[in-house]
Amino acid sequence: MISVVVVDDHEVVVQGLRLLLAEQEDIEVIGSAHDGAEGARLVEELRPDVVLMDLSMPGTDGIEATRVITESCPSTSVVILTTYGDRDRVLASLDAGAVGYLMKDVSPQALHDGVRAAAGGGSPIDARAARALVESRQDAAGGHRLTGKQEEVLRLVAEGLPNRLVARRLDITEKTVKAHLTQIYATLGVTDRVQAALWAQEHLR
Amino acid sequence: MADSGAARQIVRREVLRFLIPGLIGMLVLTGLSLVAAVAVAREQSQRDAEMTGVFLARSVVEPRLSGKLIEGDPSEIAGLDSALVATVEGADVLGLRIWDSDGVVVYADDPRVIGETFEVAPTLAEGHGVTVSPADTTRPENRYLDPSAQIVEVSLPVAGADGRTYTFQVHQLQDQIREQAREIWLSFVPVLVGSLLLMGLLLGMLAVRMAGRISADMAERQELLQMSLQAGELERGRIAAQLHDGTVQQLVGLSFTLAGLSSRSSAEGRDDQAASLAAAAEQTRSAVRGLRSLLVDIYPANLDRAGLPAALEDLAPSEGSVPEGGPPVPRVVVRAEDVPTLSPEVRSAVYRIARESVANAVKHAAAQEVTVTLGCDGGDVVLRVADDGVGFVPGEPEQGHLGLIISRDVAESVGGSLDIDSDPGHGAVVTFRTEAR
Repeated sequence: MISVVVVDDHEVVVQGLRLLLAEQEDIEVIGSAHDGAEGARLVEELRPDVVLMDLSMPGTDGIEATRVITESCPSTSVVILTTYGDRDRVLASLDAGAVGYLMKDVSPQALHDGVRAAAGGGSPIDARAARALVESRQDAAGGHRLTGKQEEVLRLVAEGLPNRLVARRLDITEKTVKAHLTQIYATLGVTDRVQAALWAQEHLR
Repeated sequence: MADSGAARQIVRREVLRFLIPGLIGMLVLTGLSLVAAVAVAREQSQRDAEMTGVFLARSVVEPRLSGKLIEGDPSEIAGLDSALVATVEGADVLGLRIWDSDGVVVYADDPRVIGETFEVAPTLAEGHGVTVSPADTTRPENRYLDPSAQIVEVSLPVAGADGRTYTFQVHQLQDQIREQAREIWLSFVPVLVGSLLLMGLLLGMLAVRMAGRISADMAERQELLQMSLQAGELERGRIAAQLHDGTVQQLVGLSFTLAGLSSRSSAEGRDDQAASLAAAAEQTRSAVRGLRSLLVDIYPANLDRAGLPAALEDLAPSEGSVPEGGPPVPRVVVRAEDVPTLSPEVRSAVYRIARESVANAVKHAAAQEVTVTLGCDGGDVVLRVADDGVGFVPGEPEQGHLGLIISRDVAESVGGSLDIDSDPGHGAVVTFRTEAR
């Protein structure tokens, strides 16, 4: 028997899930909570196999609750069940320790299978969330995502040119150079010119 | 801020627009006044000359116009000479002459012409009034006058002691009349120009105030527009949040419940009921999906999180969002390179204009391809949405143009400009340009 705790601030969703999962002989909902903090406490107390976790909740949100649960109960598998499928949230959830990511328009069969998979050591992930994950991985593999112009700017900065000369060389304004640099720092995850220049010497050859 | 600079420019433009015609008007008025002054001065000078003539005739000539003088008595002539010289001393009188009605000169300040007979001048022949006219130096009696000088001739009848009527003639220099005209003009032109300048100044102040009010009105209008857009944005956000937290979650719960009931019915052997409940659950899920994409439409949450290029990519309509049998879904190509960091207002403006333009191309233009280009030009961010659809006549009200009107308002609210270029049959290009900030 797979024990499940449902965490969702909408009672109507909790009731629906209880009803839906109750029909599965191998799945039992042993508790439910309406916010992240309550959910974390309940999970620590009940030690379920699987947690179905909403993301957007008042107070402690799903990501924070997932982090707490993963630390306190490593044997419990957290599966996110949400209406959001954007890349940032998918990555943040997985970083927090969730093993699965399902969307709320999931079919009953997929939900049942997802709970079973999570309990069995698998990772149920919605196809849209999987795409976000794949793109993130590809971005990481590709290293950086500088545009042509950004790369030009960075090369000149790495040569030691001040913004004024970079602007003159590329026939753009100094303001534009600064704007490019801001984006370059953000893309590369660096904080200043020197780090960006070092990165360029290593990667732009 | 750029706003105040633009406002100053508007004020300057309005004031110039007001003042330049005013200045031209003042110049024209001054010129006309000069012409009028010369005419008035000339008339007045001629009247002065006439009065001089009448005065001399009545007070000097007539009392001395005796029979002896007419006969040429030298002492009488000398007497008149000295009386006249004493009277016209310092005046602009060139010469004096007395004729009898037969054209014989009975007296002249120039003794050479006394006793000479000339054809009676027309001015003398015609009646006995006072005449004022330029002296005709070609006439023989005037041969001693300087032909290059402008001389005015005043003629009037005088009564002799013998009961006959004579003609008295005075020549005066017109140069001096001109001088007089200038003096008159100079005496009133400062007053004229002064009052015109004062009027101009008042008008100018009025123009500055009016332009100031206009620019204040414009600023207020822009602020109101901005506020209403922000209010709209807030309202959309509120509606989206409410839909998401309320309706969507209820539908989710309902779909789970329906699915659970379906499983229960199936377990109880009521397959028909199970099937319809499963179908209802599926329909509810599809409603959840529909609402989700609607929410993204009315409030693109990813605009803040994922950035403008990603949000623009999302503008491409999915295959399912356009009804079957409708126009084909165009390909939307997004090129967003080198976009500087933008403020939330500008970012939102770019997104909304792009969304309206793409929606227009999809719904009305029957385009095959829509190209969305976002880039930088100097200190400006430039959005260009080009389609290869049916196009339209710019400025002609037509279905779908409400979107363009909204776009224009959005563009203005961030101080940018919207340019729409289209030709029937040649697609349309919408270009939005604003300061990158």
